[in-house]
Amino acid sequence: MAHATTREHGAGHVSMDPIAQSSAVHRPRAAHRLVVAAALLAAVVAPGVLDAYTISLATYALVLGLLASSAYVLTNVAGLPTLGQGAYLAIGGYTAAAISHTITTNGPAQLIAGAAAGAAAAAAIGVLAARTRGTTFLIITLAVGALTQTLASRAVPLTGGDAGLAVDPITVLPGASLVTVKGYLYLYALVCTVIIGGALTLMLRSRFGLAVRGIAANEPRARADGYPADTYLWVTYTVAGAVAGAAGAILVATRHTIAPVDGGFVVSGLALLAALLVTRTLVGALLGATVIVAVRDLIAPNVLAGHASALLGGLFLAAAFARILIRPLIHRSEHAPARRSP
Amino acid sequence: MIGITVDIEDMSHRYGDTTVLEQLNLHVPAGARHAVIGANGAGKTTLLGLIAGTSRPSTGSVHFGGRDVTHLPLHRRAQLRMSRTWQRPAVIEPLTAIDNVALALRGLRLASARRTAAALLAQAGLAENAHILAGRLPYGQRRVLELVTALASRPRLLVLDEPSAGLDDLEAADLLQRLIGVSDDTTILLTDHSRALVAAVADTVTVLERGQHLRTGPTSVVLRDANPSPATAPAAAAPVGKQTERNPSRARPVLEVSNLNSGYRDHHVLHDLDFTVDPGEIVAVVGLDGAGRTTLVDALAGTLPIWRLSRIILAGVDVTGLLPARRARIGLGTVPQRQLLTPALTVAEQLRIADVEVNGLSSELLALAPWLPRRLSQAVNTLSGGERQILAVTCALARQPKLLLLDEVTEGLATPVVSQLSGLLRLHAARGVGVLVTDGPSGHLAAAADRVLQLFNGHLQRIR
Amino acid sequence: MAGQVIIALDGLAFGLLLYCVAAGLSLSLGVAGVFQLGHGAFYLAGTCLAWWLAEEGSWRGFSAALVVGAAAGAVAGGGLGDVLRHLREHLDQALATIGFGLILVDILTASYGAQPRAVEPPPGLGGSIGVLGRSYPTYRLIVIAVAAVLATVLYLVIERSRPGILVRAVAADPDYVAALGVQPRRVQVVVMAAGGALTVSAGVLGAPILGPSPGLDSTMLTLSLIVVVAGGLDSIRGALFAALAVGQIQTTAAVAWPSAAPFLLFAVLIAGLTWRTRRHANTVRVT
Repeated sequence: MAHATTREHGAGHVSMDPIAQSSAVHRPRAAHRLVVAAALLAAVVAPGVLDAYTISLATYALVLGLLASSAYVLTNVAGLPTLGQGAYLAIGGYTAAAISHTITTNGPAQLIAGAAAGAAAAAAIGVLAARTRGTTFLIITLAVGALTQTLASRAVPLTGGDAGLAVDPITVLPGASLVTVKGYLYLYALVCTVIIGGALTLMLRSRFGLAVRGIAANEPRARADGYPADTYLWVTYTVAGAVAGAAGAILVATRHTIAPVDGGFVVSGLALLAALLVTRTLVGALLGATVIVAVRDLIAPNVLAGHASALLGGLFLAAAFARILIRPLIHRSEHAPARRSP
Repeated sequence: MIGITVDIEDMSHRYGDTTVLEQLNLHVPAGARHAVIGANGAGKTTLLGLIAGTSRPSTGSVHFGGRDVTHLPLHRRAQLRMSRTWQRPAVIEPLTAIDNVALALRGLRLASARRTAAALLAQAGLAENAHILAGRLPYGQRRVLELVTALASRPRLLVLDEPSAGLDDLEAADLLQRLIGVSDDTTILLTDHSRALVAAVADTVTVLERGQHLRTGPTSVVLRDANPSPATAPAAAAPVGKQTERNPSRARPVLEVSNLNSGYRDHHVLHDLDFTVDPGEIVAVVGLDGAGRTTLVDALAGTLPIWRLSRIILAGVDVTGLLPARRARIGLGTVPQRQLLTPALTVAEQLRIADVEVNGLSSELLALAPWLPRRLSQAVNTLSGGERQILAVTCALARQPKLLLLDEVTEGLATPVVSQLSGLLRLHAARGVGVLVTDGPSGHLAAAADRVLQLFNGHLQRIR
Repeated sequence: MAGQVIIALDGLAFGLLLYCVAAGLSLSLGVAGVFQLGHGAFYLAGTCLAWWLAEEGSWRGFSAALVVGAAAGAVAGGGLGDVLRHLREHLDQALATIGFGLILVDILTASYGAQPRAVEPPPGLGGSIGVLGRSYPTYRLIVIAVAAVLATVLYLVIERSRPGILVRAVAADPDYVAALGVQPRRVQVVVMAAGGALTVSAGVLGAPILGPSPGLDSTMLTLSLIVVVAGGLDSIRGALFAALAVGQIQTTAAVAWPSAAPFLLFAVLIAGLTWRTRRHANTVRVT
């Protein structure tokens, strides 16, 4: 009899399951693939139908989307919530700008340099940060972001200070002419995003990605399986730094300016928000970034002119409370704990 | 590949001032099946953690096959082909069962690791659920999954902490078969409260008592000599009906529990408990580790949600849905198993927030804790476990509760102190306080109780 | 020499002010378990209040700003604490408080006009007095005195009074406090209210030194988070040392070598973190 009850509860449990949404990540369903395909199609045809201003917004959405992807890898996969990815965007962006001024106008070269700089900085900070977890990690990343922004505004000879730095247009192929048309710049950003996103997807589906998920969900078990948790998380943090650095290089290549505020606290916060806003997948992070840019730069000027950040604030609140508002609907079941007897 | 030897030399382990393990020496030969048994708080889980590398000993060393691993962390020991399981099955909940096992197969490419994992799960009877997220598996299957994961890499040393905890009879029998079937190339070190499991699996047994090595010998000899605990003979116990025939004075029971069901998200621990505690009565709830004693205390105190249809009536008031603080104000005095282990408070401060006047301490209490007035300025976490328990009991009694709820208070207490403590409880019971204590299977407080109930697999039976 | 003393005094004033702000953050994180990233916005609100009510420097306006600020801070902090406990995860709390902070800062910015504003000290405190032969603004000495008193009172309340002991007990073990018949949630909401009141008051107090300006909220948030992490999440004393160190870095180092300040702040963070034992979730839940 006792046996039967246990089984019943086991079965009842399947329907009320509260496990995280991450199942979508490693079991790509048809619907998910359809969304990816539709998004990609829309992204490719966008320059043909949109005006120049909207295209420049779409380009920035790709930059923010890449930054959100790096936040996604840390927050949703490695279980390390971050509020400081903007720092690596700034480091990558200023590196790309410096390369542009001194060495080459070649965009891909700047991109690789930006990613390398982001990775190097993250590897250094990660020696400390990747040993911490949870709130401490969140605060450290926030401090890193804020201090990098301060540094960027003070190191005037290198960064131009708060006024920012103007950067020349890029070339894509050696010897080719400078790319200045907004539509082409958008396509350059799109191709870079797809390549980096694809590489991240491969990484997340590999044994390494699986192990990082395992560390996030149950660190002692993953360690008992033989995985050095701190090292794996350090590598993840470094990769995320590289992606954010690449995002910075793309920002510089497509917008021709960079300023300390481009990697500031609000941008880091938006990247985290984008990673959590839509669905908690890599594509969701890109879509989330699109939604955020649309709300801030398309909707806000028409609805609440001058108060875009209040509207974004509302988006943050919605994302925070959506989970507890939705959760009870998913978990209602016969054996759910009841606070009060009927 | 042959099993690995484990050598422990002069190992001690302390938390603050509390010594959990004292100068332990142990040699486990290659391929042995070695069990560590002992009462709660004897240091079994600590010992296993030190061997597995989950924690480091204060002094002493651990060698695997002659290699000093004392300072190697868990993952490095795992790379030496050691596997371990935990008292609560440690599985990676957001990954499928297959991926859980595939992760443990480090040497293979992921695709072939998944194929091997699927085959291993099929052998273990989990083929149907292989693609289900581990967090969605029922408790018993998680235990099996954890074991399959631990065995997947064909370990040379397998460390099992209470593998049968929380399993029902059928599941425990199934587990036993699996453990007996483990290849001789694997050394097994385990603790378990089930004597049947220890007797069937282990060839050597070490008995620990309060962190000290008592004896090591062949299983049959050691188990024959050890006191048979009441919990090993649940068949002799009679089920508890509604306790209406007791309570001749017709005073209303101070605690009435009906249909109590509780547990954790994934684990139904308490099944339909019905019992009462009368004013002036001392009731002991005994049971094995994992039987649900602490769950019962948490459910009664209100720190754990209880499930529907459960009813808890305290001093005539239905407290079923009330917050812990409200229950405390209605008259519940709780001494939880773990209290205030941070250096946040001093003894004087803890007494102060419990509204205990140091000058007004009763002589019975001072006889129990003559050290108390001297240690007022000491941080609570520098007291020994037993002293902390007595301080907590003092604070709980100061509020003059109608029902005193004590969880495992005797853990870490010396026998004379336990008898003084039971004297103190008897004194307060005589003043009309109902007392509910939980204790291990052979607990000393149970001996002083008016009534002893036994928790077995989440069901309650009266044994005295 | 005298110049260095003057700068060190500036650092002391800023450090003590920062301590009052960080203490509120430390209490909400350590005791209430609420990750309050809107904290910088609270400080900005205090400076804005002072600018609205006492821009030209008046005792009546200044005291009104203090009273209104403390009351509003208590209500907002307590309310936030009450709402946020529904969000169990720190990540959700972080999102919610960032959102709250963005909205609050947006409203405040619209009100003060998104440019740095100066607030006059109350009449009679606007002058200077001689310190080591140099003139030093009287108001900064007053801030040092008031903030020192606030810090002392806070320390005594937390360390010596019964409510303070309860607060520490809630931080250590809420279930134990519940067993004493005290609802931990109430303690948490009260602590959040006190933290809010303290922070907004500190903003009013600091306004004549550092008036409302864009970015002030995130600067104060970052600095107080550094103080909290470096000083220890549960240590009022550690936070004091960290705040004084950060105060000195922000003034002394900023004068001597501006670009070095971020590195020094990061060094304080690392030093504080490594000094204390690292405690990360390495334990498996037990039944």
